[in-house]
Amino acid sequence: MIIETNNLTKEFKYFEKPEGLKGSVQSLFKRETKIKTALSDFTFSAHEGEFIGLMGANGAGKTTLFKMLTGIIHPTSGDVSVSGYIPAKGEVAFKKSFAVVMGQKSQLWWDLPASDSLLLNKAIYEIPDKQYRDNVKYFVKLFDAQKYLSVPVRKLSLGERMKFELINSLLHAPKILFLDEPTIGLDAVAQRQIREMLKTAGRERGITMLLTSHYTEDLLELTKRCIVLRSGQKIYDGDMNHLLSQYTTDSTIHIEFSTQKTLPTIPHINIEQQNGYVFSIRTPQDKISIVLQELLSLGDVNDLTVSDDDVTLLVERVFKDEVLCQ
Amino acid sequence: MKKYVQIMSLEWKNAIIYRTDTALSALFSVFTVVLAYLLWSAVFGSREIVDGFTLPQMVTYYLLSKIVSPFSQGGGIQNEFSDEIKSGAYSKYIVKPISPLGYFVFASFARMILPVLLNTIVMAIAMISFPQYFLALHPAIIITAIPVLLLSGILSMLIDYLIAMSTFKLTDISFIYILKNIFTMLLSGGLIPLNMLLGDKIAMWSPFSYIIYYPVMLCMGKTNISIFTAIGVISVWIAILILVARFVQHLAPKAFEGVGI
Repeated sequence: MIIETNNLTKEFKYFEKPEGLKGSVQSLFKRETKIKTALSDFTFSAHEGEFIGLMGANGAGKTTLFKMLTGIIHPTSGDVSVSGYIPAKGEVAFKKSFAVVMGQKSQLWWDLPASDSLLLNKAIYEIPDKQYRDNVKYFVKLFDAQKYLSVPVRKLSLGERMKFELINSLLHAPKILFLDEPTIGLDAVAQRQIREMLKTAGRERGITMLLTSHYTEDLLELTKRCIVLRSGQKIYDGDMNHLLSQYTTDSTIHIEFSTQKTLPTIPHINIEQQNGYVFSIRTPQDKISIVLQELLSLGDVNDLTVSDDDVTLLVERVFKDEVLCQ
Repeated sequence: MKKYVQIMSLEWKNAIIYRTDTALSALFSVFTVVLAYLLWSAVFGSREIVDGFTLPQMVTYYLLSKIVSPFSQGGGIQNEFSDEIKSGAYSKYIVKPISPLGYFVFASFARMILPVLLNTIVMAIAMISFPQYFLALHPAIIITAIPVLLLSGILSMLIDYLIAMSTFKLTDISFIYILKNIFTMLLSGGLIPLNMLLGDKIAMWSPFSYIIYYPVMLCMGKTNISIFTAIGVISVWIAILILVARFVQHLAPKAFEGVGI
């Protein structure tokens, strides 16, 4: 196992301050200390080369987990081992075994070309000249970023910057890549490009990836296994598609007739839109074949499509569900 | 070591991008000397000597103190460091194999050295153009002052580093910087020669004396403290500050919550 945690828990202390100026003055003399459990008894393990998605609403504990796995913060209790090291010890060999990319925190030098930031990472990670040259060549080609190497970072688009953030983090050949919202703020085309490149880089270099993203497409395309966190607790660890199938309850049938029709009474349907020719009908998934039979028996069908619920809606249901679905 | 050389190189590349800003600030430093000349001309009036200084010596003191003043100002990296701690960006020193102290010292040094060099060029032109207003300096003495200057730069950086690291405990340290800048200017002799303010005995043991006052007086040949004593005193202060800095650096990750990331 390349990553293992056992009953990992992190508690944060914080102060509560009553509202208003009076409250601010009071808090100067008396503060009420409270404890928030950001992550509770989290146990999991990851195999080498696995792509794992971390799902959860804001404040669910995803970033706290990342911070403990990378040694940024120390656990309150529990054990954690990454590449065989205890992250909190901060050993140099451990730091060289992974990389972190945070979509909202740039690691590039703003006023200088990205190539200068790459050189700094070469020196920081003591990357041999040949390995550096080969890796720059490989990743710059993979990410199609050659023409931007000499452009000051501040003049790059968000998507181009993210490409260099990723190249920068992959140069020292990390075994594990922690990706925290790598596609945040990017347009759909750039998101797709980044996903494709990550997939290729991960597959060809055997990198283990842990990914958090609020974009469901990122999780669906990049990861097979997903872990769902809610209020610091793990509520699901398993196949992503299996999880979503549990929450896919309804389908939408979009049917177009060549002549005007009046729908007969069909049980279990909810007509969302209709104009006599085109109908949009929602129905439970287990009733779909019966409903389709009824609709097709009306004849004169021009077009018919059946679609599942939008995946974002499914994820919303996963986050909101009160029942542990493990 | 290569990584820290690379950091210095990047800092210089960055400074070159803002070359107009850097050049203008060096050019405007001449005006401080002109102002000092006008002010001290009024103070001297008809007197030849004030507290052991002639007017050309006093103006030269200000000129030299202006040249080395970047050593007491840290180039703004302490604010960036403090902001990094507050915003969570400090995590880069935890996840990457790089020492925050090493980064701070080398980046500060890179930022200090450029304005010092530019100030030297501008001030040298001023001295050569108007020799009647300045004390004649001996290049050999100036060269002997370089090791003291380098050590005083390190001393100043360590003080800044410790102040920046106090962000872990205090969160907002802007008031400490304001106090530090006032005290450093005063106690390092940046505002007024220290012998006028404190007398030589206190000045000798204070770490701040070696940031501006001592190197300037050494260049002017006006100090009784030997260069070896000075290097010894600065080295002791540096050793103490390094020990404290390393201790703080050891404790820092435990206090770091990575808020903001």
